[in-house]
Amino acid sequence: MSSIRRFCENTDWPRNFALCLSSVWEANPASGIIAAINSCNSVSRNLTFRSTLSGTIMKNLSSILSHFKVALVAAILTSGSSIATEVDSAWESVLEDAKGQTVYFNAWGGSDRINSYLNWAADRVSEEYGVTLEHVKIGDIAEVVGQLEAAKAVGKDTDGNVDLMWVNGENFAAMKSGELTWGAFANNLPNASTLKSSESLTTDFSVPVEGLESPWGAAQLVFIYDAAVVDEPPKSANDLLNFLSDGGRFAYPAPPVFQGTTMVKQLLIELTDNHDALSKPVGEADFASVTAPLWEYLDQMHPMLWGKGKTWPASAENTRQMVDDGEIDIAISFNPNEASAAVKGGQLPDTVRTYTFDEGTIGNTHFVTIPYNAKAKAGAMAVANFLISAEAQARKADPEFWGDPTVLDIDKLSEADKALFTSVDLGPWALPIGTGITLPEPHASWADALEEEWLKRYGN
Amino acid sequence: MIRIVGIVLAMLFAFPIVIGLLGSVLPAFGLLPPLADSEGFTELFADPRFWPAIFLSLKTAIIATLLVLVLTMLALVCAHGTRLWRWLNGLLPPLLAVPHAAMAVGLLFLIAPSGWLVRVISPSLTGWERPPTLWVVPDSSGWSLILGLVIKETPFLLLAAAAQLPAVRVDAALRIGRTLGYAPARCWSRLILPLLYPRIRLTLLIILAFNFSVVDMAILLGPGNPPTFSVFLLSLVNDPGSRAVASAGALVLAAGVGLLFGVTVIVEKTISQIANHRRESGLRGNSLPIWRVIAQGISTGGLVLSMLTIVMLLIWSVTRRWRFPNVLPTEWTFSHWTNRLGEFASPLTTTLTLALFTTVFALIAAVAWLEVERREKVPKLDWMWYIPLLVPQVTLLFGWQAMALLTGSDGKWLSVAYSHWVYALPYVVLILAVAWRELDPNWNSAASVLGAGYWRVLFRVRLPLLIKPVCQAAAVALAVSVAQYLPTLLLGAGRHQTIAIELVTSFGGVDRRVIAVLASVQSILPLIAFGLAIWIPRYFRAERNT
Amino acid sequence: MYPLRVDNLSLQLPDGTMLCQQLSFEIAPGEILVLMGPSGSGKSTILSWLTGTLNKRIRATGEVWLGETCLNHVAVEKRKLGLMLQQDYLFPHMSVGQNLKFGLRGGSKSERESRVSASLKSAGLEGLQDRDPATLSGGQRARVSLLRTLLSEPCALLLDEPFSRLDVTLRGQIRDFTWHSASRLPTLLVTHDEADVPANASILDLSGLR
Repeated sequence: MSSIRRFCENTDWPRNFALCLSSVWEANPASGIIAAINSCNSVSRNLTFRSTLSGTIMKNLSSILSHFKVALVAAILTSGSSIATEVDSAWESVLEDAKGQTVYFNAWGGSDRINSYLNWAADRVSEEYGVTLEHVKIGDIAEVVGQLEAAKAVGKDTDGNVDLMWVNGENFAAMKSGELTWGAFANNLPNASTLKSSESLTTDFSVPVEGLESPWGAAQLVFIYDAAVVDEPPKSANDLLNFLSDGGRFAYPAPPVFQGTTMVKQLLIELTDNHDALSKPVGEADFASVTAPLWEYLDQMHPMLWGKGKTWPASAENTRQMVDDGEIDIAISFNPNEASAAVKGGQLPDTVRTYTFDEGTIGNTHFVTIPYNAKAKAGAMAVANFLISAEAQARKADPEFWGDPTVLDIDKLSEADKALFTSVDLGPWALPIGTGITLPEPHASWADALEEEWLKRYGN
Repeated sequence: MIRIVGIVLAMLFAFPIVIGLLGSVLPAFGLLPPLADSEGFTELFADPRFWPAIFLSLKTAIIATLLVLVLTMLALVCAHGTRLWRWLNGLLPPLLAVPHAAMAVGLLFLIAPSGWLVRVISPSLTGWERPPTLWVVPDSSGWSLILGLVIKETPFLLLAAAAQLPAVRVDAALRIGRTLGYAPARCWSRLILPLLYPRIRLTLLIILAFNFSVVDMAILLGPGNPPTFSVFLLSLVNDPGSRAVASAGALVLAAGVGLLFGVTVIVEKTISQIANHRRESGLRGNSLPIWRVIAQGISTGGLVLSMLTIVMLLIWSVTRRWRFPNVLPTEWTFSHWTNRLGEFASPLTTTLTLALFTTVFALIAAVAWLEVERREKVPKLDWMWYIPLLVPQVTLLFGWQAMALLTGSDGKWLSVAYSHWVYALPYVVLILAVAWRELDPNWNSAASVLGAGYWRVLFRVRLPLLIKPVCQAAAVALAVSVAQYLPTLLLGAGRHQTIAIELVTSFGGVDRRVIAVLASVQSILPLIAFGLAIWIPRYFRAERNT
Repeated sequence: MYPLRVDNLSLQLPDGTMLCQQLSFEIAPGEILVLMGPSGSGKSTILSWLTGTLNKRIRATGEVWLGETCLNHVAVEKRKLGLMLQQDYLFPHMSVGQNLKFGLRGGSKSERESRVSASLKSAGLEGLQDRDPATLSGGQRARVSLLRTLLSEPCALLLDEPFSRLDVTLRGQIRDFTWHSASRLPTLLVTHDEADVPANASILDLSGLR
């Protein structure tokens, strides 16, 4: 049993399980993959359900069952067929199914450049895979998570309205715990082999990804300032306070706007002594004592902000606009290359520069995932695979088009694909490459707790 | 047969309203599992944002509506019969076509510390090299929102009032009143307004309900922390754990509107009592030219402010760089328009198909209803048409969304189109009803005597005679459909992207240039429709004359 | 009471047509001048000019005098010219009594009450104070309308076809009532009906003046 458990820990079992099942259903390997992922999910879903019903007996049973499942995987895996060809043939048939499907991709639609980028992607996946990609522009992905929860509540388990969605962090955590993701599709994507092997791609706000979502881009909290106005920008939380008392102008969006929450988390990381508590669920920590220095800091800071702590920018994009208007001096952004893209797009003056705090800022990865009731699952997989192709990632990294840091490991790419990336010119405006330490996100559960407390203190 | 058509029509219209109310009422009391199985009200009242949000909404709605009324009266009294009046009448109708949200964005740019009004006088007069920090926009007390509502709703009420002036014989009243020795302002307050007010009361109530439940403008111009009550509700609706709370909130919103209506009626009664006594005093009042000048100044100022918001948007749509304190952009570009032409195709098609469906079916339904009413002598159900205009949209929509989710009809094109139809039909019926009922029945008999059958009379006599109101009603139906944001969003489940949705999502990107382009596109559609509504009847008349 | 005098009145329409040229007349208190002429001859336009409510697009020259006061630059409401139109224009949101009080100038509350009832009595309309004007007969409405004008204490009376909409049987009665009530004022009557002209009136026929 212990060897099987080790196998279970070391191996990405759902992927292999799926692949193996796909060899069983040779007649139609694609539906095999999809069915396999479905069945994995439904098994585990049923198990969870039952375990809540009848306590420990069922729990034991479920662990036995899951071990049985792994044993099955192991048995099939060792039966000797070549994994590479399995991947190819299975993927070929996914593409076969994808052809002619319409994929409704629910993604934030507030940025012109991102919308244009997705338009381009739609053209490309249509050429490449015969998939029609429809970008459903939404204001906040949490709404879509809500819709899925509602759909689940009323039992609309097939032909859902969403095929692919752009998520991370709390929303992913909510989807995972609510079993709203379809399954471990991400590691089956051929292009997944060129992804960076970093922890931020396998855990999302300390929540294990487990192939339920596919990485799309990297993000880090950065600050953008106009060097023509500010000589020496503040490089730490305490610097920022001094900057404000010297008449500097700054504002951050009010939580629960996520960049606002991120700013609060950033300050918390800098101000608290208890870093260990942050990587664990908030319920396990003494919230009041961990966060006490944060509230003390914010009490001091808020009266000096733009809006005096009574009015807040609606979003990080708003702070960028306010820097361009001269209403504030420092904007916050979650994209290290945003300034570069904005200068090229005429939204910021070419005197802006990007930096992080000296001790680093929070960074994370954003992903795409397929909801459990998606209609065009094969098509969604094809799109997800395209999104992590060298071609798509290189264009995405180019501030001319978007300017979002890649999730690919350049060294794993072919020479031709590498060249795509070296031609990208970020200019002097983006976060200089090699600078800016990335700090991990606190556990996903901290966001809600911090937002609630923030609203209680500063909500009126 | 005719009776059946009437019943079917009334059902088609009443069904979604009943469903919408049920879909809000049931979850609020936890009666709609699995969507909601808890009591919403206790949780709602316990939310720390509840009371601040309610007070903010009441405050902005009441002040904005009062200002709209006062400014309308002011403009009527001081501008009627002057050149300013002609300007107002010519410039205000196009303003109605501009989406609320677009106007809000233009207004934000006008009044912000880094906005255009400051730029015009900086740094030359103010010495401000950088935007002042004396105020922020949007402010935390809701005044930006109030200003936005006032400049958007005053033209609506003013035009509604202007349309009623002939019916209250305003010229004669002024002439009689003045020759009896009363100053013009007294003639208005004692002779004209008491007759005019009942005729614009409904419009005013619609404005009041709108101001209380507005979402898009409140997101942009209102304080965010806490937001207005309707914005607060919208943030709950997509959180399934909060559906019971959201539904309870939707009912509170509807109750709030009811309460405001009640207060309005009481205030109105009191004022009319006082006015009734004062009319008997025989005091003539003095005409004070200075007040007239001030009032004209305010009216002109409001008009200029409204026009400027539009001008600002148009300039932004062709701007590349425009920083403080430049009065005009330093770099221009048309790329926001040209880059985007391809991207407009799909949302524009969706917008137009929805609008055409809505217009055609609203016209058919309205004509059918009015014919039923005319031939069967059924009771006039005018109050029924007002329900969707007076019940807050959020309240009905929460219900529809809940029902659509339960029946799996969310995301369906027909669900969206149906909701547009429900919102367009009242306008079409109410616009057509006046002309339809007043058309001399002798036209019908004259045609019938000549041997024309029912359909021939309808299509060759009644409709051509009423081509003007029919075209106007069609234009309004189209404008209503083009402007629908919440129904398309909540019932469309993201499947049906219209220009209105594109516009509201573009606010997230905070790029004034993109917003300006989308707002222009959204304004152009109703403008074309209104243009056609003026041109088509003229064309037909000209055809006949040649 | 003062005479009402018009000196050298010329009215020109926007299209250049002259409605009247160099028209002058004077009406002494108690006298009645009748302006006659077919419709479109400018009778009502002259009345509009007199009251100061002339359409701005019509060009007018000439002066109007009330005794020693030139009214040209006096505001409409200060001219004290009582006006009666074809329609009675009793305000529908006021009772008969309120309509009369609206015309009545000055006085304490009780004085006003008694003057209104006295004037109603004088017109044979006793006790109708609280009635809705819509419930009155045409003749009653015409009388109330005239009473309202007289209660505003005008210095001259301008009548624009005030009898044309009345029943034939009523007309004589209302005419007599009018001439009796207006006996101390300079009165200008506009009409196209010869039967409206009282015996002692002088006539100015506009049809010849064009």
